[in-house]
Amino acid sequence: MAHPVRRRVTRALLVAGLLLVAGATPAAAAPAPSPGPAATVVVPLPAGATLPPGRYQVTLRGGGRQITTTGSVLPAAPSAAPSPPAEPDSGPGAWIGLGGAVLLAGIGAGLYLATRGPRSRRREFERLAGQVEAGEYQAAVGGLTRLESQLPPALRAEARFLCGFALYQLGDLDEAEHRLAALNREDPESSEVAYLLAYLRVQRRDFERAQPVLAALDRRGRLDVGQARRLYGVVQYQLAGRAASEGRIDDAVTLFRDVERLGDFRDRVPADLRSKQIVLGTRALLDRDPATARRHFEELRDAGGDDDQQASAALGLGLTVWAENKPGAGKKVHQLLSRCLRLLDPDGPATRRWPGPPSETVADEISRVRRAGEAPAADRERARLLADIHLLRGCALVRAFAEETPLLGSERQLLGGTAERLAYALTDVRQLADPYLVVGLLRHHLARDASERRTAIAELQAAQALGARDPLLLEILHRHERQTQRRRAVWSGHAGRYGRTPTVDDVTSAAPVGPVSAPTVAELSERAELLAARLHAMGADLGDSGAAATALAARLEQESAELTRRARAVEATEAELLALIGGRLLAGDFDEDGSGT
Amino acid sequence: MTADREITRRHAGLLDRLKRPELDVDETDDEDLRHLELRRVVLEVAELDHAQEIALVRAAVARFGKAGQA
Repeated sequence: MAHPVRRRVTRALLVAGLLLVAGATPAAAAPAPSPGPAATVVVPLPAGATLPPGRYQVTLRGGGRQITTTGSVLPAAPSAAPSPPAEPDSGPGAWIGLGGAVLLAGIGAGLYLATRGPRSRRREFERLAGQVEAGEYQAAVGGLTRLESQLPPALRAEARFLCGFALYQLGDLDEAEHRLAALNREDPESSEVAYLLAYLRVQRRDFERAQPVLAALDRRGRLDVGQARRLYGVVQYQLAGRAASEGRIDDAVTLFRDVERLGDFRDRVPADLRSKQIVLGTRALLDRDPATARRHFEELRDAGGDDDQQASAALGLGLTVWAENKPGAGKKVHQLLSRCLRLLDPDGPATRRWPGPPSETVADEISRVRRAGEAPAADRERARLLADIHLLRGCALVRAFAEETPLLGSERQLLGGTAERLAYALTDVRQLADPYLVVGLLRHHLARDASERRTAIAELQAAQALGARDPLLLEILHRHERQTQRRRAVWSGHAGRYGRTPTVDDVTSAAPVGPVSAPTVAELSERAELLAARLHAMGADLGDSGAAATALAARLEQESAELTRRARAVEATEAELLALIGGRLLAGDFDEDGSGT
Repeated sequence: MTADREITRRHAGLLDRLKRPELDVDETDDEDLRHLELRRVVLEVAELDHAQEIALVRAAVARFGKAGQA
């Protein structure tokens, strides 16, 4: 392929040649009659220019057209010297006639070539474009690269776009980006080039450099090209996240607002990151700086935004008051959180009936948790938030009672009111021990009969099953277990010996007996470990019993370890069984009598 | 005009081949971001754990009886 500079020089020379040809023809000479094209080009020769006679390739340009042809420089006719007798065909008139004929023939050929050349290049371009459309990227890239410089400007830009697209599809991202970026600089108005360039940069997670390209599209109202609007949403979200994590709160808030405006990821924008005051207030709360937090949340409240922002202001102020730890906080927190709930959940009840301790089977629980997990993320987030606020609000009620600013007058009202508030914190999306712990403890302290005590214990057992391990809780449960064992033993003994129901005195006076219900593996291991530690601490104080005690402790440790291994084996078998039939259990394919359908 | 329409058609076809842009947020980054969200840190900010809940209940229980007299 000819170098463009060399080609331009050649073209210039040919044009000069044509000028010389024209200049060599006397301006006054009449053109020779010719059967060729009617057009004759006559150009005055520049002063002082000479060229030997001969044939030259020449190019004519103008009016948006370009013609390449062949012209001749004719020998100049002597003007002063006497001329020899003229041959019939060799006089100046004959030379001019010959030159004109050649020139006209050249122009004809030029016109032919002028139309044939671009047409063939256009056909070649269309063929290559078709290859790109057919996904034959590798084949198209080479041809487009070779051809692009020979194309007129409009097609040249198109060829470069196609080349960039093909390179992108081939995974040559560096080269594709290089070419598309150059094209974008030269023609920033091309929306397709801008979109493809931004898309490529997003794929490389180069969000900073994708942003200005998309911002330009946005300014020109061209986010309709491809999926530019969605792409811009991705970019703004990513940049907002970075700004937030780097502490550039103003930038983060602005960018998140833009994500909301663009629309596609509106529901992914955290509600509280739409406001600078909320972000700064939250950070102050996490930094244990309630004074600063109060300032930001009061600003937000006074700004009078929408319900959602007012809900955040109430929540932020509620948490601030809770953290300030001043007298009367419980009542104020309860009021603020109640306001927050009214704004967040205007149709939701402020309280719910307390369901009591859980009674469902494992299969029910698995099924329920699975259903909750299938809910949309936004719904789960909302349920979790409401549960958290209701839990804190219930605890604020208890706190107000403790601070002697009670919102409810009597202990029974406190129990009922707390349970009704914490019932809302029992959510499927996250199982918390806290509601059972608080309500169970309150009920345990207020229990007036055995039935209420049993309910309290069941609630505390639920809290334990959900992870509560506080010593006070464990002490209550262990005490209850010991009493139960004692009652069972007395009942069993009396029924066997005397054939009568034991009295209260029989039960309360009964001596401690060995365990009746089976201990858990964990309990046995903990006890064995504790005994071994105590034995070690006693050391030589054991005297004659030392050797026997040490042997028993070693045996206990060994048997506990064996028990743990066996329990794990049982669990493994259980897991296999569940894997085999778990789906049918959940689908309810079992009849009441346990037989499969 | 015909050529322009052809180019427009071709561009639309090619750009349609690009996958739909998705928001791919790194889990850690997302967690950092969420940590700045007030609604995600209610219990953390309140430092409400089992020990505090039990302390609240015990403080309230200490007033039982007094409330009845009031």
